[in-house]
Amino acid sequence: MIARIAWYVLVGFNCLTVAVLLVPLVVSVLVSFTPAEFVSLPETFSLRWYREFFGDWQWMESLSDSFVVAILTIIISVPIGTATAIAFTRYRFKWRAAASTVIMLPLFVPPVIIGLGSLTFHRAIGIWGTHFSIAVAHSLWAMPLVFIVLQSTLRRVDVSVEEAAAGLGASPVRVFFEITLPLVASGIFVGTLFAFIISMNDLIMALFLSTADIKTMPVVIWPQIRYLLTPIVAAASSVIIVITVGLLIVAARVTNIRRLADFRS
Amino acid sequence: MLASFGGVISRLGRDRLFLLLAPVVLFLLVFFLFPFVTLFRISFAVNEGGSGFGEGTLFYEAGTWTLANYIQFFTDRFFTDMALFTIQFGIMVGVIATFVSYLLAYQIYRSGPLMKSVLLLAVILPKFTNIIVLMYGLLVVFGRSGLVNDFLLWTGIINEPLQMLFNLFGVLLGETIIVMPYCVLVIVAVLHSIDDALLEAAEGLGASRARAFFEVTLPLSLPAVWVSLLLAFMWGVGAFASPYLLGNADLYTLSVEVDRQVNWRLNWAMGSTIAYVLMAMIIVLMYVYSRLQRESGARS
Amino acid sequence: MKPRIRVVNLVKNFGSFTAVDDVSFDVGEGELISLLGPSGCGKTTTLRCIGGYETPTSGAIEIGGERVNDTPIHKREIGMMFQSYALFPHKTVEDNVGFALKMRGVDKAKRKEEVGKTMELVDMLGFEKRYPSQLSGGQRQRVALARAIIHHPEVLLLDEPLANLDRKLRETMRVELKLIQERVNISAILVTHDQEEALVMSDRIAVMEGGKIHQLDRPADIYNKPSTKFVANFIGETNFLEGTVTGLQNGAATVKVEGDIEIDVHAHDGLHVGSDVGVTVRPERINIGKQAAADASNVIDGRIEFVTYLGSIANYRVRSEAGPIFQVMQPIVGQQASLSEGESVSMWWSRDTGLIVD
Repeated sequence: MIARIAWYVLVGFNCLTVAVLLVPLVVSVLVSFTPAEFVSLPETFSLRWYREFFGDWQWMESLSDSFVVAILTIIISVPIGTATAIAFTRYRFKWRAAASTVIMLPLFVPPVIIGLGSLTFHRAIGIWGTHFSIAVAHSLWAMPLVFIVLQSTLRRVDVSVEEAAAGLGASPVRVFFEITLPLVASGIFVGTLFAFIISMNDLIMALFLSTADIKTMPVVIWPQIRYLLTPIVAAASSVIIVITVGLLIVAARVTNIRRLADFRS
Repeated sequence: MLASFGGVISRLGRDRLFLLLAPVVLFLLVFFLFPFVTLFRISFAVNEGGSGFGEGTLFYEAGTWTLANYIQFFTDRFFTDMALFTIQFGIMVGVIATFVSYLLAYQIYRSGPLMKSVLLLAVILPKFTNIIVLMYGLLVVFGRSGLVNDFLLWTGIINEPLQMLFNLFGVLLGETIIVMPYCVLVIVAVLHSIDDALLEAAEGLGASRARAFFEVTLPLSLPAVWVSLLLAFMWGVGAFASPYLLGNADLYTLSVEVDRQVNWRLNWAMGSTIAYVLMAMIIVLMYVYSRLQRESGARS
Repeated sequence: MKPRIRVVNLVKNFGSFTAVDDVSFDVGEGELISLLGPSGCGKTTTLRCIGGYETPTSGAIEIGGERVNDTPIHKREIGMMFQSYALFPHKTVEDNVGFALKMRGVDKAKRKEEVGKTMELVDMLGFEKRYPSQLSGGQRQRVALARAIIHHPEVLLLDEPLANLDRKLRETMRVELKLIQERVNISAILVTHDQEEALVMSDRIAVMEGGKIHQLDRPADIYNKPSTKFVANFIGETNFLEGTVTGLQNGAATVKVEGDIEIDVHAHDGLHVGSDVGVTVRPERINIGKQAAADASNVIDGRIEFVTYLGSIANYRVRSEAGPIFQVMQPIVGQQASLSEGESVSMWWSRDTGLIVD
C-alpha cells in the first residue's frame, strides 16, 4: 500500500519533470506561429515570422554558415572517429583503456575553455575566421561521440565474419569494403547525424570563434534572445528544432531497420 | 577466447594500427593540446588592452611574461567569490540533477516498452535541441508574464507574479534541464544491468517492494549515482548559458566571466587565467571525488 | 603419399602462456584429422595457426608442400568453417557461397555455375536468394560448408562446426559432412571437444591437452589402445587403477594396485619390476556374474552398489571386497535377468583387456 502511494507520488513528480523538460520546447515552436509583434501564444495561426526569417539575408547567411560548419564537422570527425574505433575494437595495444579516456576528454572540458583555447591557437596559426576553425572545435565533441557509436557497432560485428572473408581470399582492404563497412554503415550514419546535430546546436564554442563574416545560427540568436525577444527568434529556433528532430527520426528509423534485419547470423 | 580476440586485422601488423591511430593522435595533439598551450602562454601575458593578446607576440618574447593575472585573480574578492560560487553551483546542480534524474530513471526502468521510449525521448530531446531554444522557452514559460504565472494568477493561488527567473531558482532550473539527459541515461543503464532475479529473490524472501528497493536496487545502482553526480557537477561548474540568460550578476560563474573578459573587455589574458583556474578546479575536484568514491566503494 | 598439410614443431605463446607446445602432424590427401580435447587444450589455436589467423611463435606450417608461415590469410588456399558459421549477414546465400570465387576474379556466369554445383552438393538448391537470417541452423551450416569448399582449397578447416546444432541434427550432419568431405576428396582438419563426433568422422584423431598431442591414431586405436591416462579417461569410460609392477613373465605383467589386488596385463617393452604404472580397463570389457568361470583370470569379488540402465545396457557400480570401485557395463541379452543392487558378484577379464598407460 505504501509502496503504491510512493509509486504514484513518483509518477506525479516525474510528470512535472517531463513537463518542465518539454513545455519550453513546445512553447517556443508555438510562439513562432504568432501573428503578433511581441512574444505571445498565437490566437491565430500565422507564418509571418517564418517569412521574415527566410526573407532576411542575415538569417539566411547564418543558416548557410551553420550548414557549412556542420558538414565540415562531419568530414573531420567521422573518418577520424571511425578509424579510431576500428583500432580500438580490432587491435590490442598498450594503454588502450587510458587512451580511450583521453579521446573522451574533450567532452569533459567546459566549452568556454575549448572556445577560448581554440580562439587563441587558431589566431596564432592563422585559420581563425574560417568555417574550418569552428568545425575543428565542434569536432572535438563530435569525434568522441562518433568514436563511441562506432565502437559499439563494431563490437557487435562478429569478428569471425571478417576472418571468414579473409580465409576465402579477401585482402584486408577488400574485407573492409565488402564486409566491415556494410555491416557498420548504420553506425556511421548515426555518428554522422550526431556530428551534424552537435555542430548545429553548439552556441558557446561558436560564440568565441565567430567573426563578423561567419556566424552560426545560435550565435545570431544569442544577442537577440538577451535583448530583443521577438518571435522571429522562436521561428529561428523552430527551424533548428525541426532539422534536429527530423534527423533524429531518420536515425531512429535507420537503427530500427537494422534491428529488423537482424544481422546476427 | 584469448585466441579469437583481434581477428584478421590484428594480424595485419603494427604499421596498420599506426595508420589508424595517427589521425586521432594528430588531431587531438594539434587542436586539443596546443590550444591549452597557447591559453597557458596568454594567461601569463601582460594585458596590452585593445585587442588583448598582441598579434605576433612570440611564446618566449622577454618582458611579456607576468604573474599579474593570477595574482589579481586570487587577491580580488570579486574573482574568489565567483570561484567559490561556481563550485557551490556545481554541487547544487550535481545533487538536484541526480535526485530528479534518479526518480525519472527509476520509472523508466520499471515501465513497459512504450512508456519507456516516450520517457527516454522526452529526456533526450532537449539535449539534441539548442541550449538557446531551451532558454527561450524557459523565458516564455517561467517569466514574470509567462505561462506559469498567468496560470497561477488566473487560479488565484497568487496575487502577484512569482519571480522564478533571474535568481538562483532560474539558473538551477535551466542548468538541471541541460545536464539531466546524461544523468538519466547513466542511471537507466545501470538499473537495467541489475539482475531481475535479485529483486524477485528479495521479494520472495519476504521483502516488500519498498524494502526490496532500499535493500537491493538502490545499493546496486549507487555507482550510477556517483557517475551522475560527477557528470552533473562538471557540467554545472562549466555552466555558461543558464547563469548568463537566467541569472543575474551575482549568479555568474567563471565560464560567464571568461566570456565577459574576452569578448567584452577584450582582456584575453585575464580570460585565459580564469579558464586555467577553472580547469585546475575541475581537475582537483575530480581527483578528490575519485578518492572519495574509491573509499566508499571499498567500504561497501 | 605426399602429405597435403604438415605441421612441424608448432609453438604458439600468448605472452607467458603457451597455448600450443611443440605440435607436429601431417594430413594426407583426402584425410580428415580431428584435434580433440577439452577447451583450452590448444586445438583451436593450432587450427588458427594453419589458417593464418594466428602467427606461430616457432615451427612451420606447410600447405601443399609450401611453407606458408609468412603467407597472409587471404593468399592461403584454405576453406574454413566457423562455429558461428560467420555467414555474411548482408549477402544472399548465393553471394556468400560465391564469395571466394569473386575474390579470385572469376566472372559472374562461371561463378553462378559453380555456386549451383556446390549448392547441389550440399543439398541447398533453391535457397540462393535467401539471406542467412532466413535460414535454419542446419541450413546455415550447409551454406557455410558450401562457401568453404567452392574454390577447392588445399585444406578444409572445421572449427567446431556442429557445436551450434541440436543433438539430433548434429548426429545426421556428422555423417553428411563426412560424406561430402570424402566425395570432394578434400583434406580436412576438424577441431572438436566431442569425442563421439571425432570417433565417427575422423580418419585419425589427435588427442590434445595442455598444448600437446597425447596420441595421434586411428579412432579404434585411440579407443582400444590409449597410450596415456588422459586419453583413456577422455575417450569413453574407463576404470583406472594405479599400481606397481610386481612380476614380469613371457609378455605378461602383474601389477599390484589399490587394495593389494593383483592384475595381469599385457606388458609392453621397457617395463621392469618395481615400475609405477597405471592400468585401464574398459567397463564393457569386464565380465560380471554370480560366479566366475573356472579358467577366468583377474577375478575380483564384490557387491553391486548401484545399477543404471542405458537402453539395453546395464551399468553397474561394483565395490570390490578389497576396496576399489569398478564400473562394469553389460548388454542385457534377451530375457536374461540382470543382476540387482546388493547382490554379491564376481568380475573377471582376460589378460589382454587391461592396458598399461603412462
